[in-house]
Amino acid sequence: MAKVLLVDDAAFMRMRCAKLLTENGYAVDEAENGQEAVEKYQKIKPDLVLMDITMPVMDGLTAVAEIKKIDPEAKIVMCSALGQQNTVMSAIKAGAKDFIVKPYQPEKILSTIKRFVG
Amino acid sequence: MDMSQYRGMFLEEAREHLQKLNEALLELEDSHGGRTTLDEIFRSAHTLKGMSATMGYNQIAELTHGMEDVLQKLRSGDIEVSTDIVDLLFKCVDSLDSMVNDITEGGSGSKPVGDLLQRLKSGPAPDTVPLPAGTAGAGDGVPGPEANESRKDHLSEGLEQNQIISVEFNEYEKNLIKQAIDQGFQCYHLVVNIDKRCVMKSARAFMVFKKLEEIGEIIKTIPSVQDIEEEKFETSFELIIISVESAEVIRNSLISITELLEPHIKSITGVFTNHAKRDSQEDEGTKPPVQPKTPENDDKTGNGKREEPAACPVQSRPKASQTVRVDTARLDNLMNLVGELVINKGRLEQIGRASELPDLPETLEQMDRVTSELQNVVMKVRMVPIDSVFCRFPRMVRDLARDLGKEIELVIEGKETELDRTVIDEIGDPLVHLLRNSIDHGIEEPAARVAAGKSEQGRLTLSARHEGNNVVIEVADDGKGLNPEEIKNKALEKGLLLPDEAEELDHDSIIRLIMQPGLSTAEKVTDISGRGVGLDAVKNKIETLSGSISINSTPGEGTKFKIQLPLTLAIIQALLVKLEAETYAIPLSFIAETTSLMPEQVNKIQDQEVILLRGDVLPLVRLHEILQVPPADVHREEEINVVVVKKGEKRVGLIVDILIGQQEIVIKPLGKLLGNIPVIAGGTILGNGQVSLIIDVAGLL
Repeated sequence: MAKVLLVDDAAFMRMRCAKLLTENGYAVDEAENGQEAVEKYQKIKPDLVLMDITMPVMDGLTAVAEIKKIDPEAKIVMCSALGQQNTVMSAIKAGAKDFIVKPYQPEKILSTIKRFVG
Repeated sequence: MDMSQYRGMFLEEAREHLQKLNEALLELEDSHGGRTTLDEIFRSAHTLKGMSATMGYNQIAELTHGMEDVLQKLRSGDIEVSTDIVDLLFKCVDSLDSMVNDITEGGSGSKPVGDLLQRLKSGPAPDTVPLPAGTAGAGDGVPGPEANESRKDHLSEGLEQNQIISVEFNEYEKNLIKQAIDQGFQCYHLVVNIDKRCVMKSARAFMVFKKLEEIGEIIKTIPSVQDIEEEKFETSFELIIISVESAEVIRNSLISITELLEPHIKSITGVFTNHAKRDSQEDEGTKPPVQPKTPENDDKTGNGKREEPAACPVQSRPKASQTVRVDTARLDNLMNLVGELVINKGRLEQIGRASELPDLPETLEQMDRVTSELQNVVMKVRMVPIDSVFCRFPRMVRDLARDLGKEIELVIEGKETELDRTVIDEIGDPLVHLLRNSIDHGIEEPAARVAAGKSEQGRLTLSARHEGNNVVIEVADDGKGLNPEEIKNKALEKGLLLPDEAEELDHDSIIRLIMQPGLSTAEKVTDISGRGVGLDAVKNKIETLSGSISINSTPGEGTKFKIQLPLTLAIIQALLVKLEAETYAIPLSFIAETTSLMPEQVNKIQDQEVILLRGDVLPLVRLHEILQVPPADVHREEEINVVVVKKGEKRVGLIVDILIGQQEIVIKPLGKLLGNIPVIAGGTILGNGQVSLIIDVAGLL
């Protein structure tokens, strides 16, 4: 079962996403900021990371760079809000593989995840 | 065909191109002939030519045509960029400008252009442009009358078809392609289609670039990379890539990207026509812009896969051309309605919290999302890049500097920063003032600069950036700075300051005096600035826009004006506070922090209540007293809540009873009868329907 690490500071968003993913057969782990994401990444080596951008403690962009340091092969998909184009581009430059734009559409999340982990 | 209905659009666009020409020419002068700049100038001239010919403004067409010839020679390197050439081109632009103005005023737009045309023609040495081997057809650069003939053909084509989209390769690109093919590389023309539901197309496009750069080299994109980054395209864009990989590999790497439809890939071989063009109105999928030499190329490209009609959208025209002009009043109305919606949403949220209906929070959350998105969209619609103001400055600075015999480099930063239209319309004049001020009084003459140990060329920086909910615009020069003594003396002389007051003022306060009405330190009045109506008018203007201005000046090193403006004047973030039973709103943009302290921490200095906040003395203001809210029963033993507000460098602590929280509020003017109340900036309706007054922090300070 593919493991997905959900990183978002809003518990609500994590909850909704986690529900969707578990229902579709993914193992889900959560982190509520970039810092925690980096720590969890090391520990559980997820197959895919869904990374929010704006978060306290450590933002998504920094977290991408940190995770890439640990694992250059890491598959990270940015979760962006409208208007964060430039951050998304920076994240892709930093090694993120794809991005999803909020508000989430379930099909889109699933199809994106499928692309990377099957 | 009756063209008059297109006139407005023509004028609008013509002006845009003239502006672009102005900018690009300045750049050309600085960079001495950067390729991309030349291309840009050429494109603008070319577009103007086509447009004006279509509209029947022949003189404009002729003049731009003449410019094109010179530009072509510059592009091919037959003649070099020189000040003379740039001056000549500037003259042409000025002439075009006056023709366009003439048309605006109802004229025919015809002015004698023979002289300029003659001078354009008599430019240095006739050209012999070697076309690369294998180039077919009559090229742009062929000398002599035949060239003119072929150009006229081009012109008339422009007339008939109105708009031509062509993959035009310049010499450099042609060479590149030729070399690549000679060395066994493949060269492909790609049409990349992005799903029309995709939200961040530019980011997708960025992923395309990144992927493709892993396997090859992108040598050209249509529209330009910049336009693509700025999302000035519909759902597809084209690019030319050189790679060792097969078309299949490229295809696979592209379809691995989310939200990308089947790309169209065509192989380019050795021979292509000089002017492969196509008509955007016709179906593009079947009419490739670049003719492949051999039919088998088609097989290589996975031809069979590109049949789905959906993957073949017709629009590849840049988005920039598809705009709708809307009356600002309608936008204001829309904004107002959205404002009302936000208020109602707030109310609903309050009701929701009280009612504890299980399904309500989720619905409210969705509604919240939609309204904030709606609000964003409306705001965006009203937003204009500040470039539309900044763009006229380079020319102004250049001309002024020339007139004054100064050397000035204007550095513009953050021109893409967006501001509300209402603010944009108003900000131009104050900025002109500040720039002129810096050029005239700030930056010294070259000799004086050298004597002061600076470089001959003065530097004037104009920058804009977002800072929280504000836009900060800075005008900074590295000139001689303001002289506090001079200002003080002047102020004393004019009676704006009493001698004993003058003693007490610190450096910053003295500097701030120059924004007082009636104070001008310029020793002589020039026609550029120094007439004494300057900075106080600027300050007033900024303040009516709910902004603030501060000055920072170091003698000998320069002066910096910092303008802070709200992004929009309609909806703001505010902190709600309570004074006794009344609720007031303090705009968040003015709040530095909030803190609480015990009554015994309050000290008195010269009858002014102050506190020490991290080592700094902070004057306190009791809002109760200023607003004359009747004091309630004694609860003075408790903590005191202080909202630290700032305006420019000034800070004051406002004492309030209770901090309620941050909320988005819609500013409603109080109406004529209640207008102009000091300390109150307006009113707002809270979520519970209550009216609350907005504290005018700027007025308070």
